[in-house]
Amino acid sequence: MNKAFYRFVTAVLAAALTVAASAQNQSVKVNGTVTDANNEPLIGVGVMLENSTTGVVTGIDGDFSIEVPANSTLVFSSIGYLTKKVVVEQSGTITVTLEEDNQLLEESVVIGYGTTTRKNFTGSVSSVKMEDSPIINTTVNNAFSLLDGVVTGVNFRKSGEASSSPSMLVRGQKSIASSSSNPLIVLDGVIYTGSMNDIDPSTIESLSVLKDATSLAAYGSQAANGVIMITTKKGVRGKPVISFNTSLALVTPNFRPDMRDGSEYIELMNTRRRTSDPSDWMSSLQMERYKANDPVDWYKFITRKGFNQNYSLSFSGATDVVDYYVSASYLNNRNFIKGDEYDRLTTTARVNVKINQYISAGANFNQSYNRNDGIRPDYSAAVTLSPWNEPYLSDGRLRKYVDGVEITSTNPMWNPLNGQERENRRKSSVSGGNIEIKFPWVKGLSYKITGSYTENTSTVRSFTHETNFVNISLGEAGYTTAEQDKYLTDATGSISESKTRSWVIDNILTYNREIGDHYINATLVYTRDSQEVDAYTTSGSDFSAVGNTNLGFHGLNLAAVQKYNSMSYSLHNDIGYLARAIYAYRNTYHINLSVRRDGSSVFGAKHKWGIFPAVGFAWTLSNEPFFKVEAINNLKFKASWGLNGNQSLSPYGTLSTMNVGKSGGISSFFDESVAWGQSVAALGNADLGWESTASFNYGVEADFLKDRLHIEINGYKSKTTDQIFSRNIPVMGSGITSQRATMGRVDNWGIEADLRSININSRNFTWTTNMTFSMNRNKLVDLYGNGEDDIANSLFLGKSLGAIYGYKWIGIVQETDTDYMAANGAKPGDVKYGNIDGSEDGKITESDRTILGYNKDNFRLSMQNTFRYKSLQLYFLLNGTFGGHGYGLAQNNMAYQTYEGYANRNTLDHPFWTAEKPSNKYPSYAFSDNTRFTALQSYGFVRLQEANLSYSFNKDLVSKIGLSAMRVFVSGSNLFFIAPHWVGSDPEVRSYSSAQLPRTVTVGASITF
Amino acid sequence: MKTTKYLIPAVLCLMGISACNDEDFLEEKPKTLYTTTTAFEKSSQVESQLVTAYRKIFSLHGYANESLAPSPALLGGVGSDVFDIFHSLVGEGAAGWSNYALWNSSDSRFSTLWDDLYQLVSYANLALLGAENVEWNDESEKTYQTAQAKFFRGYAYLRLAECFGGVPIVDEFTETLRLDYERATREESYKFAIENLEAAAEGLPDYPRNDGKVGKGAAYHFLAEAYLGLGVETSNSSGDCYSKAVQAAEKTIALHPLMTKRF
Repeated sequence: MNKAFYRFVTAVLAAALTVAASAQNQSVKVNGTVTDANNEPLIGVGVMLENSTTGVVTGIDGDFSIEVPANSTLVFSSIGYLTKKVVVEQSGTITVTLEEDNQLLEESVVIGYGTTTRKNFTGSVSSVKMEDSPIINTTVNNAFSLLDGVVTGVNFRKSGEASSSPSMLVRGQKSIASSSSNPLIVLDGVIYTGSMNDIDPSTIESLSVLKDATSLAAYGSQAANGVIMITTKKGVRGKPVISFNTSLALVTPNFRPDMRDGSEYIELMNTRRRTSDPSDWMSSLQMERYKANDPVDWYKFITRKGFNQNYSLSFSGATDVVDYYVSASYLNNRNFIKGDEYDRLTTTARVNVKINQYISAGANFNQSYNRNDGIRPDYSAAVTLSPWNEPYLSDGRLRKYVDGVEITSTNPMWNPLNGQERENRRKSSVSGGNIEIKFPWVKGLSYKITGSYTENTSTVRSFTHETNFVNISLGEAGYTTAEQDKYLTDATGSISESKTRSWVIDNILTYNREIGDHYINATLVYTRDSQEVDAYTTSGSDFSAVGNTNLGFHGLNLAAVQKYNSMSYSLHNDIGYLARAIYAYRNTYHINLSVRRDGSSVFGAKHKWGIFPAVGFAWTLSNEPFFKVEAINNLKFKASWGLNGNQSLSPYGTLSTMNVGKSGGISSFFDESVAWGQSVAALGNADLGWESTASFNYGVEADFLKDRLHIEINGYKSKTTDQIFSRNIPVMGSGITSQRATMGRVDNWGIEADLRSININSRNFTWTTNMTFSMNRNKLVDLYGNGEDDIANSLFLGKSLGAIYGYKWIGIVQETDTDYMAANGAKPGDVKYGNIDGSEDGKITESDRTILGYNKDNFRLSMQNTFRYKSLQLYFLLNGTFGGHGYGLAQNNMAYQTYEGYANRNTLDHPFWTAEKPSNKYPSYAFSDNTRFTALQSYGFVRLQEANLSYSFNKDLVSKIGLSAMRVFVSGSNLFFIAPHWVGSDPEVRSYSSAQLPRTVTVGASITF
Repeated sequence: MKTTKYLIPAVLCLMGISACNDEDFLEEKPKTLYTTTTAFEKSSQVESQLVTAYRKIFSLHGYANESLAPSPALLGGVGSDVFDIFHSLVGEGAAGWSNYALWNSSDSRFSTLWDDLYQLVSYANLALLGAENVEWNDESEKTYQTAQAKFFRGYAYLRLAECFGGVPIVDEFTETLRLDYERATREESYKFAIENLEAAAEGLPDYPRNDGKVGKGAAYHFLAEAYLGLGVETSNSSGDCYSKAVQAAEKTIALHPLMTKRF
C-alpha cells in the first residue's frame, strides 16, 4: 500500500515537475522535410538548435526530427545554401526551403593588385572558370585559344603552325600602328612577361579579361590594350589530391584549296602557250609523267595525319597552414604539315604558407622547355607546282628541281629532308615569391610584397649543307657527292641566341574592411619592373678547306668566313605608383576611384611620366528596399571612366640611330678591297610618349528567376590620342622616308552582350545556353592635324581603320566595250574599272579610286550549349564572324585571276575569260595588273569550333579502384565551317598559299586519386 | 610575435630603398647602337659616309635586288627603246613598263626613283656637315672628300632635273621635320647641279686615287650633260650653255683620250 502510494506520489510529483518545467521551458517535437527551391529534398542539411550543440542531419528524403525547447530557433545550414532560421513555437511538421547561396555575387573577381567581390565590382570583365568547365575537354597549346568564342570583345588571329599562339585584340583597334596591340598578361597577381605557351592550361583555374577603364587603371601605361588575369590552381583542404590528365588527338587540315588537277592544268597551259599539244611546253621529265598518266598530288606530298599528345600530372593539397600545388606536363604536337613538330615540357611548383596569424608567404617556380626543331616545307610551292612535275630521281631519292628546267621549281620537301637543319629551343624559368603581413594593431590593414624573376633563353641553330645545292644543268648527274662537294664554299650555318631577363617587384598596402553597412578597400602600390634583352647572331660559311660539313652548326669555328652578324641589347624599365579606393554602402552604392602615375624608360626624354586616373560607379538596384520585383534577383547598373596608356615604343625608339661598319651592310669596293659605309638608319623624336586612351564604359547586369537567366550588356566609347606611328616624311631633309610621330586620334565604340540561361534544370537533365555578341566600330578622327587623309597608308579621316582603297572593278572588258578600250588601252578579257570621278574621257586615273570596304568585321556572335544527362555531358560551341555594310571584306584576287606573272604556275580551279566563252566575272588567262585589281570577298563565317562529349564516372564506382574521380571525353575542334562568300582558303587564314587551320579529334581522360 | 616585430620594419625599409633613383632608373643608355651624335667624331667617318653614296650610285644602275635602290630599271632604260620587257606568255606583247597602257601614278617605281636620288643628296649633305665638324690632318684631304660629296649632289640633281623637272633645292642635312618644300624651276635645278659639279671638278684629282672612286673626268662628263640640259631648257638664252658643254667635254677627253680628233 505504501509502496504504491509512494510510486503514485513520485509519478505525480514527476509529472508536476515536468509540467512545471515545461511550463517554463516546454519542449516541442518538430519534424519535417528540407527541400531546395525546386522542391527536391536536401540530404545532409544540418538542423541545429541555435547556440547549442544539439542537432540532427536530414536523411535521404530530406526528413528530420528534433526535440527542442519551445520558442527556440532552429538553424538550417548546408554548404552552398543560405542558412535559414526558423522559430518553433509548438510541436508539428514543418517544411523548410533553403535558397541556393548566390555564389555569383560572392564570387571573387581578380582586379589589379588585389581581389574584390563581384557585387562590388564596377567594371567590365569576362571570366572563364576552367575547372569543371566543358571547354577544357580538348587539346590546345595554350589557354588563350580556349577563350575564342567564349569571351566577348576579344578578336583572335590564328595560324596553322604547331607552336603558334593566337594574337588577340581587345575591344577594337585603337592604334593606327596595329602591331602594338597585345594585351598585358598578369599571372597570379604579378605581371607575366613570358610566353603564353609556357603555361600549361591544366594548371589554370580561371582566366579573366579586363576591359574597361577602371579595371585597367591599375596598370596605367601598359593597360590600354586590355589585361588578361590568370589564376592558377591551389591545393584544396583535405587529403592530398593526385590528378592525371591526358589527351590524344588526330590532326588533319580543315580545308584544302581547290587547285586545278592534272588535266585541268594541261588545259590552262595549252591556252597559255597557244597550242593543243602539251609536248610543246612540257619538259622531258613532265612528259614522262604525262605519258604514264601519273600526276602528283603536291598537297598530299607535304601533309600527313598529325598527332598530338598531352600528359599532365599534378599533386596538390592543403592543411591549415600550408597549401601546395606541384605539376608537370608534357606536350607533343605533330602537325599535319610534314616537318612541323613542337614539344614542350613544363613543371610548376607553388606553395603558400601561413607562418603565423599575421604573416603568410608564398613561392612559385615554373620551368618550361620548348622545342620546335626542323624545317617546314614550302607550302606555297605545294599549291602552285604543276601536277606533272617529277619529285623523285630515278633511284628513288628526292629531286630538287622538279621540272628539270627552272630553278624556281624547287621541291617543297627538299629543304626539310635534304641538307638543311634547324634547331629551335627555348627555355624559360620563372621564380617568384611573396610575403604578406597583416598588421596586428590595425584590423584590415595588410602589406604585401611580391617579386618575380623570369629568364627566357632562346637558341636557334641552323645549317645548310653542301648537299642542299644541285647544279641544275647537269640533270641527274648533279646529285652525286662529287658534284655537290663543289658547293662546300656555299655551305653556311648560324647560331642566334637571345636571352631575356625580367623582374617585377610590387609593394602593395591594402586596407580592406567591412564595418556595418560600409565596405571599404583602399590600396597603395609602388611597383618597378625591368626587361633586358641580350641577343647575338654569329655565322660561319665556306667549308671547302674542311672537305665536309659533318659537324653542322657545331663546326662553325671551322668555317673560312666567320662573322658576328648582329649584337643587340635593350633595357626597358618601368615605374608605377597607384592609389585606389573602393567603397560600397549597403551593397547598393559602389564607387571606385584610382590614380596611377607611370614612368617608363622607352618614352622620349620630354615625356617620361604620365598620370592615369579612373572613376567608376555602380548601383545595385535590386538591393534597394523599394525594389520588390520577385523575378529579378540582381540588377546592377554601372558606369566608369578612365585614362589608360599604351606603351607602343621599343627601347631606344626615340633616338636617331646609324648603320655603321660591316653589320650596316653598306659595302663598296675600291682597289679590290671592301670599304664599309655608314648612314642614318632611323630618325628619332624626343616628343614620343605613350598613347593615351580615355574610355567610358557603361553596363547593366541582371539575374532573373533566381539566377536562371543572367544577362550582361556593356557599351563603351573610347578615344585614343597621341598615337605613335610611322608617318611618311619628305625624303629631302635627311634621306629617311618615315619617322615616328605622335599625333592622331582614333575613336572606338562598341557593344558587348552576354546571355547565360539555364533552360532546364532538373535532377537528371540540365541544359545551359550561353550566347555572346560583340560589335566594335572605330573611326579615325585626326591624323596629322591638318585635316588631310593619308592615302598611301589607307588612312581616311572620318572613316574606320582598315579601309581598303582602290579602283572599283565593275566587270570584265568585253569585245563590245570599244570606248573603254580606246580610252584606257585595255584588251578584251581585262578587268574593267569603274569611272568613279565621272571623267568625260573615260580614262581610269588615280582619282577614280574610292573606299571599297573595310577589313574589320561587322560583329561577332557565338553560342555555347551544354547538355547534361546524369553523368554524361555534351557541349558545343558555334562561333561566327559576320560582314555586311562594307565590313568584313578582304582582298582575294586569285579567286578570279588566273595569272600571277609566272608562266608555269597552277592556280585555283575557276574558269577564265576567252573570246569563245566570255565571262563577266573572271578575267582572261593572261591578265595580271596587281597595282590596280582589288577583288574583295566577304570573309564572314560560322564555324563549329568545338563539340565534346564527356562522361564522369560514378564516384562510388571509381572509389572501388582507389580513385576519387574519373572522367573521359571525346571532342572535335574546328569540325566544319560555312563561309558563303570566301573562296580558296579558311576565312581566318585568308591565303591559299599558307597552311590552313588544323581540325582535331581528341580523346582524353582525367583521373583523380 | 618577435619575428613580426622585426620583419615589418625590415620590409618597409626594403620598400624605401627601391623608391630612390626613379630618374636614373628610367634613363636610356643604348649599348649596341650608334646614334647621330657618336657617328662623326673622326675624319675617316666622313669617308665612310661617302662609301654609302658610292654604293647608292652603283645600285642605281645595277641589279634590281639591291637593298639600297630597289628599282634601278628606270635609269637603266626600261620603258624606252633600249630595254624591252616582254610578257612571259607568248604573243601577249609588251609587259611591265614596256607596256605604256599600264603606266599610272600609283606605281611605286616613280616614288622610289625620287627617294633614291634624294637619298644620294642626303648622303652628300651629311658628309658635308660631318666634314665641317671633324678634325682634318691636312686640308687637301678635306678638299678631296668635300669634292666627292659635291659630285654626288650634282649628279643627283642632274638626274632629278631630267626626270622630274623642277625639284626642291636641299643643300643641308636636317633631322627636324619640314613640310614646306617648294619646287624650284627646272632651270634652277640644272643650275644647282652645275654649281655642284663645277666645285667637284675643281677639287677632285685628275685621276681617281683608288679604283672605283671619282676623278675630274667623271665630274666634267656630267657637267657637259648638265650644260646641255640647261641649254635645251632655256633655249640657250644665255648663249654659252652649249659652248660650256663643249669645254667640259673637252676636258674629259683630254684626261681620257680615246678620240684624237674632233669630227
